[in-house]
Amino acid sequence: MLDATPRYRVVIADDHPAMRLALAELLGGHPLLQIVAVAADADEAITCCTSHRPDIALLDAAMPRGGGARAAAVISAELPATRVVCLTAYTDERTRLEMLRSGASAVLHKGSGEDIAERLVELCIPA
Amino acid sequence: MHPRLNASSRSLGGACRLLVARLAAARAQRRVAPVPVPAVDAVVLRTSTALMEATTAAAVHDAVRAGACALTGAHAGAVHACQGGPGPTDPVARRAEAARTLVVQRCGAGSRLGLPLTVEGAVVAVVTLDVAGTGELDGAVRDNLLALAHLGALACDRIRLVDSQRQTVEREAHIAAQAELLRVFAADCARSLSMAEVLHATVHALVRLLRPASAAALLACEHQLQVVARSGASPLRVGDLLSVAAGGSVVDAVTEACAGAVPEQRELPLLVDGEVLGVLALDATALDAPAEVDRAAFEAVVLQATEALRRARLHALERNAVGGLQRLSRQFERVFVHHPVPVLVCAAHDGTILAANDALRDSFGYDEASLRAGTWRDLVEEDDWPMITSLLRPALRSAAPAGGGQALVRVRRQDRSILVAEPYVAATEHFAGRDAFLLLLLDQTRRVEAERARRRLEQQIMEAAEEGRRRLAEELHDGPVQHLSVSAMRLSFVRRTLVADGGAAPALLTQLEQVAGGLDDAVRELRTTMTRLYTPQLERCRLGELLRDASVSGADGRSLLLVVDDRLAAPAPAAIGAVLYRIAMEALRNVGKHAQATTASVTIDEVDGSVRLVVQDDGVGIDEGGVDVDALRAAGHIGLLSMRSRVLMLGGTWQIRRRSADGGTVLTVTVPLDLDEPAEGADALRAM
Repeated sequence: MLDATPRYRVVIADDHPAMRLALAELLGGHPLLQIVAVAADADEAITCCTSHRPDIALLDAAMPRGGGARAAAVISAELPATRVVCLTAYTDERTRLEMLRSGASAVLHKGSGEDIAERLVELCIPA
Repeated sequence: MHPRLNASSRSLGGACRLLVARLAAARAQRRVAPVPVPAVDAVVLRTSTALMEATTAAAVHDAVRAGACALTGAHAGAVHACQGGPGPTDPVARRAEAARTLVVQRCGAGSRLGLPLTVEGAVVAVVTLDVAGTGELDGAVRDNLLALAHLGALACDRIRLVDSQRQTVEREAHIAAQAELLRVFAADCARSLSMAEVLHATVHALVRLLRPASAAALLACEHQLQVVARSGASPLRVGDLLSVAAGGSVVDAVTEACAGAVPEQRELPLLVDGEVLGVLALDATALDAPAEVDRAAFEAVVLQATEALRRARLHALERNAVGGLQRLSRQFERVFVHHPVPVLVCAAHDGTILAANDALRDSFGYDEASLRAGTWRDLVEEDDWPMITSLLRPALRSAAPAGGGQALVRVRRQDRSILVAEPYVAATEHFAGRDAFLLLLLDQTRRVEAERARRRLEQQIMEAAEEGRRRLAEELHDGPVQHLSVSAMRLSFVRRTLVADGGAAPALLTQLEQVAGGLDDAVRELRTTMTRLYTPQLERCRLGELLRDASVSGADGRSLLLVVDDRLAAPAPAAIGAVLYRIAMEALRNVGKHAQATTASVTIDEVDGSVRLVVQDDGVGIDEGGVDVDALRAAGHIGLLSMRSRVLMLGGTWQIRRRSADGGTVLTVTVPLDLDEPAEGADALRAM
C-alpha cells in the first residue's frame, strides 16, 4: 500500500552543509517524501528544480546568489507545478512577506520545533 | 751717463765753476764752443736722488731750489712756449724736443733760463735758472739740462700718479663707507617698527653720510619731530612741502632738490602713499655740487627711509588690528599663536587695496605691485564676497571688528590655488587720505584639512566597526546558530519518533522537550544579538520601513503604539542608515524600559544637509536639566553614551531633553549627509 503511494519529490536548497545534511536525512526518512536533489545556492536551486521538476522546492531564505526570494520567483514562474516553500532562520514579518511575494506557498521557521516533513506533506495534499 | 760730482759742490757758483773746468776739458775733446753757463749739471745730478724720492710737488720744488734753481708753477705762457709747433708724437721724444727748443731759444736771450718740466705733453712745472752770461750752451751742459728736465718731469709724473692713486683709494674708501652706512641704515630700518625709530635712523645716516662739514639735516614729521640736527635757519613746515611732494617721485624730488635753485635749502620729502610723512632738509651751503656718489647715497637713504616709514605705518595698523582681533578672538576662545601671521589688507571703502603686510606675499604669493591696482575682491572667490560685505557693514558702523566664528572664505593665491581663510574686518583711520578698513585673513587651511582628516579617520573607524559587527553577525549565523538549529531540529525529530513509537518513558520525553526548548531559546537569543549587531535589511530597505517593523514593549509587557514618519526624499546612505537605525532601536528600547509611555514616535527628515532623527515619547520624561554625560557613565548607561559617541564621530549632533513640563522625552540626532566633509565650512571646502 505504502509502496504504491507516490512520494512527493523534494529539492532542498540551503547554503549550510550541516543544515542540508540534516534536512536531507530527516525529510528523506519520511515515507511520503523523496529527496531528488540538494543545492547550496539560488542558482543551484533553480538548476536542480528545472531538471528534476520536483513537487516541493524547500528554499533557505538567506542564500548566496540572490537568496531564496530570487530562486522562489524564478521557480514559481517557470514551474507552476512545483510548490515553493521557504525555510528561514529569520522570524521577522518582512522576510516572510518578501518570500510570499516571491512565490513561496509557505514560510517555515528553522528551529521552531515543528515537524517540517509533516508540514511539507500537508502542503502537497490537495485540499 | 752724467758725471757724478762731489757732495761739497753745494752752491750754484761752486757748481758752475766746477762745470766750467769740466767743460774746458771736454771742449778740447769734443770741439764744443765754450759758453759761460751755470753749472746746472752739477745741481741736477747732486739733487737727482732727492728728486726721485720726492713725493710731493713741494718736495720737487725744494730739491730744485737746493740747487739754486727756481721751480715755478706751470702757466699758460710756458705751455704755449713748450707746445709751439708740431713736434714728435712720442711723449718722451716730444718732451726732450720741447726742452731742447726752449733751452736753445733762451740761451742767448738773457739771464734767465726757463726749463719746462713736461709730463705727457703738459708742462707741470718750469725750472728757471739764473744764467750769469750769454752764449751758446756747451753740448754737455745742454745734455745735463735736458736730464734735469727729464728727471723733474718724471718726479712730477710720479707725484701725480701717487696723488691719483691716493685720490682713488680715498674715493673708494668713501664709497665703501657710504655703502656700509647704507647697509647699517637699511638694517636699522628693517628692525625699526616705529616711525620715530625710522626717522632717527634716517637723520643719523644722513649726518654721517654728508660728513660733518655739511651735515646739517633737519627732519620734520607730522608736525611732531622737529629739528634733529641742523645748523642755523628756521625749521621748515611740512605744509610748505606738499606741493613739492605731490609733483613726482621721490627720485625726481631728490634730483630736483639737489639741483635746486636755492641751494642752501634743499628739502626732501619722505613720501608715503602720496602723503608726506617726513621732510629731510639739508643745510646745503657747505655742500656745493654734491658728487654723484653722494647724491646716489642720499637718494638711497630717502628711498629706504620712505619704505621703512611705510612699513612702520602698516605695522602700527597691523598691531592695532591684531590687538583688536585678539580681544575678539578671546570671545571666541580661539588662539592666534598657532596660526601663521594673518594677512592684513588695508582697503578703501570702494575696495581698492591701499596697502598690505608681508604676509600677503609670504602666505598668498602676491607681490605688492600686482595688488596695487586691485581690490580685495581679487583675492576672495566671488561666491564668498557676500560673506565679507556682511562683515563689513557692522564693522564700519561700529568701532568693533567683525568676523571669526564659523565663517570661512576661499582665497585665491597668486598661483590660482585656493586657501580657506577666516575673515575679520575692522574700520580704521584714514589711510593715504582715504576712508579705509582693514581686512584680516587668517589662513585656516591646515586646521580645516586636519578637521577633515580627523572626520575621515572617524568615519573609517565607524566603517571598520560596522564591518566587524557584520562579520561577527555572519559568523554567529553560519556557525553556532546553524549547529544549534540543526541540533534542535534533530532533537525534535527524535522526540516525535519516540512519541510515535510509544515506548519512551514520559520523564525522558519531558527532558528531551526541555533540551529542545533550550536549544530553540538559544537560537532565538543569538538571532536577536545578530540583528542588533547587523541588520542586512538595511541594505535594501528604507529606515522608516524597518523601524515600522519594530515592536516596543513596556516594562509591564504591554506593547507601545509606535508611529514612524520617514520624510526623507531618498534613502539615507547605508552607513548613516545603520547608525540611525541602531540609535532609534536603542532609544525605543529605553522608552520601553524606563519611560512608562504609551506612545512613541520616530520622525526622520532632512535639515540643512543632515539627516535628523527625532524619537519622542509621552512617558514620565527625563529631568528638566537634561542628561549629564558623567552621570550616565557613572550609572552605567552605556547604551546612551555609545549612541552619543557614534553620532559625534560622524560629525553630527545629539540632544536629549524633556518634552514639556508634563513629561515626555525628546531625543534629537543629526548626522551630516555628506560624511566626507565636515559640516562647518562645508561650502568653502567643496571647492578645494
